[in-house]
Formats: sequence, C-alpha cells, structure tokens
Amino acid sequence: MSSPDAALVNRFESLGRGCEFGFLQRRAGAEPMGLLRFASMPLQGLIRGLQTQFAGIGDANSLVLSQNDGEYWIEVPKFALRYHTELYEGEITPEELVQLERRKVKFLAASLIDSLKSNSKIFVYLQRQPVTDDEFDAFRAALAAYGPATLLWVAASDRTHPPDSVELLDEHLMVGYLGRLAPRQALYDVDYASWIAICRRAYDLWPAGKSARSRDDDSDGLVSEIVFGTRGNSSGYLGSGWAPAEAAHTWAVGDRSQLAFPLQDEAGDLLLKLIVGPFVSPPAVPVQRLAVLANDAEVANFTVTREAKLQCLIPATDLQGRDRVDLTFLHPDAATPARIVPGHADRRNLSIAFHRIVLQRVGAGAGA
Amino acid sequence: MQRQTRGMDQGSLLGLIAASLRLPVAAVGEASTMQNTRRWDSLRHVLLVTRIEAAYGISLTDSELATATSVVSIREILRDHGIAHPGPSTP
Repeated sequence: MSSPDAALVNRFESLGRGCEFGFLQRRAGAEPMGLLRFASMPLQGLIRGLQTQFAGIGDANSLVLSQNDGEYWIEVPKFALRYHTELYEGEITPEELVQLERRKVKFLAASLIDSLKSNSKIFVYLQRQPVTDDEFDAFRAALAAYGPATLLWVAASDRTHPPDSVELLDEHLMVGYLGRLAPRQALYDVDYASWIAICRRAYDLWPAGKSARSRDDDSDGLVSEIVFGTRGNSSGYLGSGWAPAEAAHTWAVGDRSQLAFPLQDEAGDLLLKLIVGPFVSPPAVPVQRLAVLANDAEVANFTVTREAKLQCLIPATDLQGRDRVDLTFLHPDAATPARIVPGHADRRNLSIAFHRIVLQRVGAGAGA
Repeated sequence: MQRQTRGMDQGSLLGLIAASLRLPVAAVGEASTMQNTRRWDSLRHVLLVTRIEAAYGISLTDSELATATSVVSIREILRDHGIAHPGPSTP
C-alpha cells in the first residue's frame, strides 16, 4: 500500500539515536531498510562510521553474536553498533545468522553511503540526551565529507521552540521540535502527528527537494488555499466524500468528493493546484483516476500513481456570475485496503489523499 | 538448499518466499511487498535473496538486492537473469 504519510517518511533515513523514527515509519506504513533504523549506536560510533565509510563493517570477525533471553543480538564493536535480530535459538544456526548479518550490514552501509552522497534523503537524528558542541561539530563535519547531505536534528520542544516547528539553520541543517519524545521503555509510542508535521515541514524546506521540485509560486496571485489534515484549515471548505482528517492529509473516499471556495471578486481565469497522493496497491489498484469539475464543468482528468502536484486551468467563463467555485472530484478507482492488502485493517473506500489545494489568479506568477 | 532448475515452476517462487519468511504459502501473493508482508524485514530479506540465488543459480548485485522488495520486482529480476517462467502463479 502506498499512503501519503508512508511516501513522506520514506524520504527520510534515521541515523539514530534509537528506534523511534523506525517505529514512526512503521506506523505510517513504510518499511524501508536502513542500517540504523532499528539499532543502537552512540553518536561517537556514528561519527566513526561516517568518517571511515563504515569500512570493514561486514568483514569476517567484525560481528559479535550474543543472546538475551534466547534472542540473538548482533554487535559491531568497531562502531558500537548493536541491534536485535528478532531470531531465537533454534530458528537459525549461529553460523548462518552471522553470514546473513555480514551481508546485510555491508549492503545497508553501502546503501546509506550512496544516499548520503546523492543527497537523496533527509537524514534524521533524534537527540535523546545532551550532546556537546564538539560532538555536534564532529558529526556535521563527518556528514559534510559526503557532500550535500542534509541533517534534520530533532529534539523535544521547549518554551522557546514550539512543537511541530522546524528551523532551517543552513542549507544542510534543519532542527525540528517534537511535541514529546517516545518513552524510553516504549519507543513505539511515538508522537505521530508531531513527527508527521515535522517531516512535512522539513521536506517542504529541504533545499534539495525544492530544487528538484518545480518552481513554486503559490503565494503569487493567491485566491485561496486549503491545507488538509488535523492541523490544517480544510474543515470549513469540505462537502461530502471525505474521511476524517489525519495528521497531514485527508482522504477522499468513495467515487466522488466535493468542496467549495469563496470568490471575492471577478477573478478571471484561475489556476488550480492540487498536492495529492493516491491509494495504489499493484496489481489490484495500480492507479487512481481523478476528474476535476469546477461548477459542474469538467476542467481536468488525471491518472495518479504517486504523490504529485497537479494543476489545471479553470476558465473565467465557468466562474461568471458566481461568488464561489464548487469543485467536484470524481475518483472511480477508490478501493478498500482491507480487501486488497493481506492483513490490512483499513475498511474505508480510499482514493486520493489531499495535502493542499491552491487557487491562484492566472498571470500573477502562477505559470505552469 | 538444493539448486533447482532454471525456469522453476510458477508457484515455487511464492513458496520459496513464504518459506524464507516462515509464513504459510497462502500469506504470500503477487501483491506481496516488503511493506505489506509480516516478517519481511531486512535480515529475512537477505535470507530470501540468498535462497533465491541458490535456487536459481544466480548472483544478485547490491542494486538488485535493494530493489527485490516485492514479488513483482523479484520476478522482473529473475526475467533479467534469463529465468524462463517467473510468471504469476495465480490462474
């Protein structure tokens, strides 16, 4: 299943510390592989690993196998890396486990290094304990050796840094403030809404992401903007065909959904921008088709397979004499995850998740 | 594991995946992915790839290891390696 939150958190990779971000990804429906996603590694070990590109991590004798209550644990002493295997005595021989783990950590370390060099993800580090300036500087220097890698440093919010806020300190460093940290004994108990809000803001601020996305002039000629999700402003605009808002999006459900924008004056042609993500689960549901009607006239047809920014023109002729724009979305490929994805519990009839809608006057920097 | 012939019958791949993940065969289908399949974690992923390599007599690159995260993509990789009948097992 592809969900907007899953797509969002897949753009991030955890560098530690601890498993909290890994659990966030799991709750969002994402299961990316990552060397440090479910591992314990002190910052000093991470710095050493980054400085050496994790040299020798999968070599013979580099891994130490131990047991705790029957479960096998792996330690890589060179980098102070330690993690569960979730395999128990009798399920696998120690020799086979070590062979597999050697290949795994070597592969995951190489993947991490590739991602660092290509700046293809935002790297997350959750501060769970005090870090000295020297440690922080060494960490940043080690990251900088890979080129443009971007760090999202996450800490608990405080009186001067409100929850869900993200500061862009320089081109390669953002700091996010979380509503609350997960309890140490229950790292799976994440502050989901706050994490998603931070990830969304960080992704929007990410210089590499911005340059990769098309130029965004959403503020020019702005007529109206709807931000979906529990912290957005969408509730006053929505008509029928919507599920309750989630952290950073709202699903259009069934085969039709509706909303309305007020118009203050004669607007001329309008540009409608939709930031959306589809429910897709190939092969049963490979795409979501989306037709857009403005005041009952069809203005666009899209086929959506991944998160996308869609846009279309609403001609002035469809707006004459109106004090509002009634938008109708037709999405005939809505499907129920519980019927398609084995083990999935969601019984809603999902089609498209909406993140944001922007309506702009054409000719005010609103070009395609 | 004993090496099997190239052009392994269609259902065997799902059986191999299920066995590697220690799941019943019915729990794995053409739409199965690492995202939606219980127990398909990074270690079992490496185990699965290792068993696929042994079964089909091939060796996967790191890039293929990274992308072999669904039944569909595994079939595509097998096709790229000239495996004759990696088609779906469903009628």
